[in-house]
Formats: sequence, C-alpha cells, structure tokens
Amino acid sequence: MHEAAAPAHLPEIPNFITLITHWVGHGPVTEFLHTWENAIFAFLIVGIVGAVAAFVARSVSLVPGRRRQVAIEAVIEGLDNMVCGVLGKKEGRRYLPFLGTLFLFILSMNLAGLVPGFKSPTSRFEMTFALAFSVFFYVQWTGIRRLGLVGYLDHMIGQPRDAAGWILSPLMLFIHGIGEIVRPVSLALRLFGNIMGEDTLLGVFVMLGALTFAWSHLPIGIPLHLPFVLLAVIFSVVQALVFTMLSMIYIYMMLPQEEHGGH
Amino acid sequence: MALLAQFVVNILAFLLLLAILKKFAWGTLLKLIDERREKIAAEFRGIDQAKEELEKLKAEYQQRLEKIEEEARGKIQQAISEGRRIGMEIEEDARAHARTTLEKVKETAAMEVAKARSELKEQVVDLAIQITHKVLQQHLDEETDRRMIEGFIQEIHTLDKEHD
Repeated sequence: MHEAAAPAHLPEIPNFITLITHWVGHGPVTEFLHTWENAIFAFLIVGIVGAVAAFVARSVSLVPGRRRQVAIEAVIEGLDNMVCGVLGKKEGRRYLPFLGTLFLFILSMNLAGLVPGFKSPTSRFEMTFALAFSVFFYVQWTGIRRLGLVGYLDHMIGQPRDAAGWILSPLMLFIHGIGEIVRPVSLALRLFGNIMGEDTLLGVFVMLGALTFAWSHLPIGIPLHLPFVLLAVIFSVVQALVFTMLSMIYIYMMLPQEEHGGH
Repeated sequence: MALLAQFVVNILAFLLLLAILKKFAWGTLLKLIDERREKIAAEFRGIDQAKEELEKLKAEYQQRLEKIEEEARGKIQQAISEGRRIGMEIEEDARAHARTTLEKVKETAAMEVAKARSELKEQVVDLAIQITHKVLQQHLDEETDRRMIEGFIQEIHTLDKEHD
C-alpha cells in the first residue's frame, strides 16, 4: 500500500532529504529519512508557520505599524470573514481556530512543493487522510457536543418522528454513516490527487527542461516548468480553500438546526 | 504499521500547529482585530454623536438667534412707541404750558390795562382838578374857557390814544 501511495516511478523534484539520502547512501538513516520524509516536512512547516505567528504576535499593536502585522492580520481577518460569513459570528468564532489552522496548514504544505528543496506533504495520502480524519473526528465530536449523544444519534438515524421514520431509521443510519465516512475520504482523495498531480506535472517539466540540452553534456536546461508554477500556486490556494470550505459545511450541517434556520 | 505511525504523526503535526496558532494567532490577533474594530466603531459612533450634537447646537443657536432678532425687533418697536408716547407727552406738556403762560399773560395784560385805566382815571381826576384850578384862576371870559375845555378834551383824547 505504501508503494502504491508513493510510487517510485513518478517523477518528483528532488528535495533536500532526497539529496541527503543520495549522498549518504543506503543505511538506517536513509531508511528513516525516506520513511519519515513527509512527516519531517510537515513538522518543518508547522515550525515555520508557528514561528511566524509567534514572532508577529509578540510585537503586535492596536495601530499596526509593521507590514508583517498587516499581512498576517489580512489573512486572519479574511479567514474570519469567510468562516463567520457561513457559520455566523458566534459559531464562526468557535470553529475559526480549527478551520483557519486547517486552511493555513494545507496551503503552506501545498505551496511548500514550489519552494526549492522542499516538498508538499499533501502530495502523499497519509497526510491528506490524516487531515480528513481530523475533520471527521472534529465534526462528529462537534455533533455530540452540540446535539448531545441522544440528539446526535437522532440526527444519524434521520430524526424519525413517526412509524415510517422509525422503520427507515436503520437505513438512514447506514446512509448517514456512509455519508459521514465518504465526506472525509473525498476530501482526502481530492487534495491528494490534485497536489500529487501538480507536483508530478512540475517534476515532469523540470525533467524535460533538464534533458533538453542533455546531448551537449553541459549542466544547462530550460525552465519549462515555470508556466506551471503559477498554475500550481492557484491550485494550492483553491485546494486549501475547497478542503476548508467543505469541512466548514460539514460542521455547519452538524450544528443544531434552530440556530441556523435549517440545513 | 509505518503508515499508521505516519498517519498519527501527521495528525499530531496538525494538532501542534493548531495549539500554536490558537495561542498566538487566533487568540492574540483576533482579540486585537476585535479591539480595533470596536474602537473604530466606537469612534465612528462618537463622531456621529458629535455630529448630532453639533446639529442640535446649530439648530439651538439658530433658534436663539431668531429669538434675539425677534426680541430686538420688539424692543425697537417698543422704543419707537415709547418715543412717540414721550414725544406726545412733551408736546402735550408744551401745549399746556403755553396755554398756562398765555392765560397768565392775558391775566397780566388785563391787570395792566385795569391798572392803566385806574391810573388814567387818577390822572384825569388830577387833570380835572388842575383844569378846575386853572379855570378858577383864569376864568376871564367865555372864549378862554372854551379854549381851555377844548384843550382839556384834546388832551384826554391824546391820552386815550396813547393807552390804546
């Protein structure tokens, strides 16, 4: 399954871990780095994003004097407006940390593939499924917390209020259960497929560009992948946005109906 | 197994970032943005209130100004009326005074005339006495008496004319 998820034959732009493993050669360190390559990049990104947030938060002021504060606030406020626009001010603020972090984490990981020496951890399904599982768990937990265990189960069996409803309740439970599982799976596969495809496309064109003058035996090439970098930036933003928006809608659908006028 | 471990580690990475951002970004920055938003909103509310107060004050001053103008017009009218009244009073007084003075002058004149007449009578009597003396002293003939009497009468006429 691991080999199927990370096929060795797909072209990939080398990152600093592949270069290290190439230099070190076969051995336990290489094996470790190769196995945990994705997680290492994920933690690096966590470190970078966290450090930026901590650095900016340390010197913030009510009247923003620095560009970095303005830039970070623009991102935070944009996410706040997006989430609160759908969930409402009160509910939006409650779920903004989860959804906002999800967006920033996915976006950072998507864009990491465009930074020389880095790799997109979201191009591997372990990461996208991990994120989708987090969303799944968070949505179910939100449902139980907001509706209560009985309310949650009532929601899962389709809120039966008559005999027909109760007769159909096992079927509704099955459909709801499948739906709840399929949603994160679709999230994970969509993100994984798009970012893996994008990275592969870039890898192919980098390779083509490098091979253009291979006949001359000179270390020169053509940056054929450059037009696709802009496309990759757009894809990265769109995919992060889609993952976050859908997660937000799943949370919204789990919230009590009377607070939102039905869903 | 390694796949499951990576899966769990990836979740941990996400949870770690969630914790970091919750502490630094979502807590601090959202609070700051809310504070700023509230402050700006409060300042706008303040500006609106100040505007309303300014409008009220303007209307109040306008009303006051109109009232002052009205009062000034009233006072001017009152002063004009008062002036007219005083003028009429002065005129009335002057007329009364003139009448009084005229009456006094008439009385004085009448008294003077009476006095003059009285003096004239006395003079006539004196004159008559003097004439009588003269007549008695110079009663020589009829022709002389006649001339003396005519002279006496002429003298009386002259005195009458002088008095008139």
